[in-house]
Amino acid sequence: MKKIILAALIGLTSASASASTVLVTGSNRGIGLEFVKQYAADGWDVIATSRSPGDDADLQALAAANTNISVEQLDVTDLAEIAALASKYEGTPIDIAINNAGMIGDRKRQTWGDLNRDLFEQMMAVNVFGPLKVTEAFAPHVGASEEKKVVVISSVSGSIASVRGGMPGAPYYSISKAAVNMAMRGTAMGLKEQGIAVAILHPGGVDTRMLRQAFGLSKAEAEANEDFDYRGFSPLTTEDSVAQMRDVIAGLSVERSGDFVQYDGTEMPW
Amino acid sequence: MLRVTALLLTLFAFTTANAATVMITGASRGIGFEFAKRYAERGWDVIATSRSPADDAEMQALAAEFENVSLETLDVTDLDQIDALAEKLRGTAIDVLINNAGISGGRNTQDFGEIDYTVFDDVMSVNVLGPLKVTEAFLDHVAASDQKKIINISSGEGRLSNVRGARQVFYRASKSALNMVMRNVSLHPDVQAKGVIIGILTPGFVDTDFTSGLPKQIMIDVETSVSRSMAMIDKYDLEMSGRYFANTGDEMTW
Repeated sequence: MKKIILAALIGLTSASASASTVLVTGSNRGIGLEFVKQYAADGWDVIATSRSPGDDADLQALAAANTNISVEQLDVTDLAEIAALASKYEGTPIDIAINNAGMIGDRKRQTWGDLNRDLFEQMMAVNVFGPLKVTEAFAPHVGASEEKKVVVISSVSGSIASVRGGMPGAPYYSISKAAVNMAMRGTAMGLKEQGIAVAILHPGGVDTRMLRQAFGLSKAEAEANEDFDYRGFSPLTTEDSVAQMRDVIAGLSVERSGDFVQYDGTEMPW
Repeated sequence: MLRVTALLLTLFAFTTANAATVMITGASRGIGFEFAKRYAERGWDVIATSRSPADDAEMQALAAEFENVSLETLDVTDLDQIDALAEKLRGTAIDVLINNAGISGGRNTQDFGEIDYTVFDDVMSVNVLGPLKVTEAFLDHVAASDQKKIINISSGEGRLSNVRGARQVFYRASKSALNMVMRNVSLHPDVQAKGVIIGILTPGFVDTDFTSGLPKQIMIDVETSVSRSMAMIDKYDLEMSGRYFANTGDEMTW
């Protein structure tokens, strides 16, 4: 009798150990959507969040085809929504929390001579405060998991040492990414005690709406222009970038927590 | 007689040329106030700004003591006020603009578990958007001067390559962000064409209101810090623009 219970327990444990859980913010398009797709295909439980999932046909279709995807509404600048979602999932271990939601902003509204507060605040809220607050709210869930990993999707644009041209396309974007690098690096030092590892990732130049915005297209143009010619630049596909980043995340350790690495594992200069 | 007049004229011209102008943000206290005092003692024209100089007894006393000190109201989070002051001072050449105004956000308001959006927003507005906007608005005043220097008071706390603990993430992120944007500004075509030098300078760990409650034995006093910074500012050239220096002269990695 005891043996049977033990066997059942082992079975239960291994079953739950195999079903890891990942949380992805900004999962309605681009890199976020691809993370959802790939982790779901690997049998992970995926909590896929976006600001207005009701409008996200691609994410809804993916969730309809995969019972292991739960779609949740989350605006990472909405503190009440963050708190409510953390509370809803209280007791659910989350192996990997991927802070992917981010914005590049309209380039025309962050140029020298036309600096303004609204876009600055919005971008700092989405790109810096959001990841910090989501990490704070979900640290208990991550700490209770097997893998204990937090990821933030940063950018080479946040690398001060890599700045070449002055005030290039989107200075607020660069500012926000340098800031989130420091914020998450500091946070990584604090989370080490709990055995949580933090990865700050540059996904590469990935063929997404955001990259087309970085090349000067408006949001609407970038949305419509999926066959954009990057003028000689060969972007990575989302599939390739995300597959490689998943390898980097799988290899992440507390010893290297808070490092800034690109999609292929190469260390990035600050 | 003619020679004496010529000599006097030469002296006069020399003196006038030497009356350089410095503008300092956040000049009501600490490092900013000390900058104002020391440049005033040096004989420079000093434009000392703070959020409310009219209510500030120390600034009033300084302006009363030195006729070369003028006080201006400037909240660096008020972009319209920045533009208005730039307009008011149009035609004034500013040799050295010191973006000094900054806030720490406090120590218990940005710990994990306590992080607060209002504090975050204030820290980013004052420490990042403020200096950027002031630089944009006053670029022409600085470009019209002899020295053409915009010096940003950063912090070693903004150094990404040297993070050991989790303290003060907003403040530190704001200083990394300031470094990023000022490096960008230093390479901006307008700034380069005008020959304006962008300094990113760390003042050291200074005993001011800003650091109250922290161990004094590892701090330097404000006089020492500002002496070092002024010596560095004298030395700044285009070669040093957009790089990250301690005021002791050591260049730092980002």
